Amino acid sequence: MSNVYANELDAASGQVILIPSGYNLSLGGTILNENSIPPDPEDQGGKYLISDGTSASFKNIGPVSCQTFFSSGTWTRPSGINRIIVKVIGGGGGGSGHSEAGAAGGYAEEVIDVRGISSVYCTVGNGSGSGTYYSGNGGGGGTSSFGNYLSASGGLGANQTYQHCGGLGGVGSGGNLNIYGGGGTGHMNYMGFGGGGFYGSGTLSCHGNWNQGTRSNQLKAPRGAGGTSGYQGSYQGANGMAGAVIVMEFR
Amino acid sequence: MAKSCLVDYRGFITDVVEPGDEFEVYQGDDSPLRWVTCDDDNVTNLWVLYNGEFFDSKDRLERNQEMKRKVEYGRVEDQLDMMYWDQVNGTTTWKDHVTAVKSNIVKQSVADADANFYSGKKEFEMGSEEAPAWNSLPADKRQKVTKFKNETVYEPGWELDPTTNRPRYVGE
Repeated sequence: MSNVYANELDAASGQVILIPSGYNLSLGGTILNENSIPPDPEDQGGKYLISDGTSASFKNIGPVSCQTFFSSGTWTRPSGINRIIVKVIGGGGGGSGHSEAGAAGGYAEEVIDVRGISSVYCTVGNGSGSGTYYSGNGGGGGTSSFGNYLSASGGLGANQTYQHCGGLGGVGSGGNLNIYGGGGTGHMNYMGFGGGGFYGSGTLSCHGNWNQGTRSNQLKAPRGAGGTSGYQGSYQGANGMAGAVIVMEFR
Repeated sequence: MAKSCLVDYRGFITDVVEPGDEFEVYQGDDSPLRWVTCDDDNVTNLWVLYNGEFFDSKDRLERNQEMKRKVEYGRVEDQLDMMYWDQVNGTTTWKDHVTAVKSNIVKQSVADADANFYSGKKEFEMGSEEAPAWNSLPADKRQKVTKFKNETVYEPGWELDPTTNRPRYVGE
């Protein structure tokens, strides 16, 4: 081993000083070679420098697109998508009368590395179609699911747990976040809101001066919400809202 | 024949499908949902599972005679209105109404003392996360489903890791 002591290196000819392939420079013990040099940033504005495990390159990363399923269907991984955030909410339970209201579907949310996945079937739970009259069983909402990764059960209908009680909320499972949907109101004199899910509570409740308002607006509510009750005993409660599966896609 | 029911730990059914039409759900050990088999083809999502039996929730035994009376009495303002017109007209509408309710809906204590009052009704108690409702079924009725309609498709060389419930690379 020989030492060269210098404060400045100049090429003997031309303007290039060559260190042949296979040779390294050591700066304070850190080895530098041709793979240590980042790619040329020219024309790469706004991009991130990303390693694939063997080399680095400039790429667009972050959120790219979003697929929303309001009915069951297949999610197919778009080219270049590496990770997704999936949000799943179950269907809402139906309402009856005298304030007895349905519950909201449960909710689950998860970050998934999808590099090994080609497609996943998304099941979207129906909202209860059994919104009914006072003291009747409002019926439960269906379960929503993103394959076998995460699921959210439907909210129960009014009177489905016990008579004169609001429905019990559905529950999320398998996600990084798993929560219950809000329950429905129990028996009172007039009218009560359908249970609130992750995206909000049921449609409007109405007094007798617009006694059909709840039923005629039953689908104007957030996904997964429980059905609001009808006015007193003579008006039908709202159906539950259907669930949803939302897939946010990232490079 | 039989139906496949997706039931939650409390014993409530969220979905009913034909065997073989089950859709994928999260099935980890902590899952609050499970596919189970019901031998009664009439099962709907208005039914419940309790003590190993599926039955319509309207057949549950519920001791709520007092509530039934309260509802039938009607709103206080409506009863006051009846009383007012009884005073004005010298009638007994309100008293007759209350008498009819008391006659038609027996007191809770009377119902409880009558051995036949709840005939045909079934006890129901919700399951818990520690003791889910499906535990009461025979093992062959609550086996984990392993084959689903519209299963997840993996890229070549990848599969589901049953431990982590995430895709894992196993090589092509």
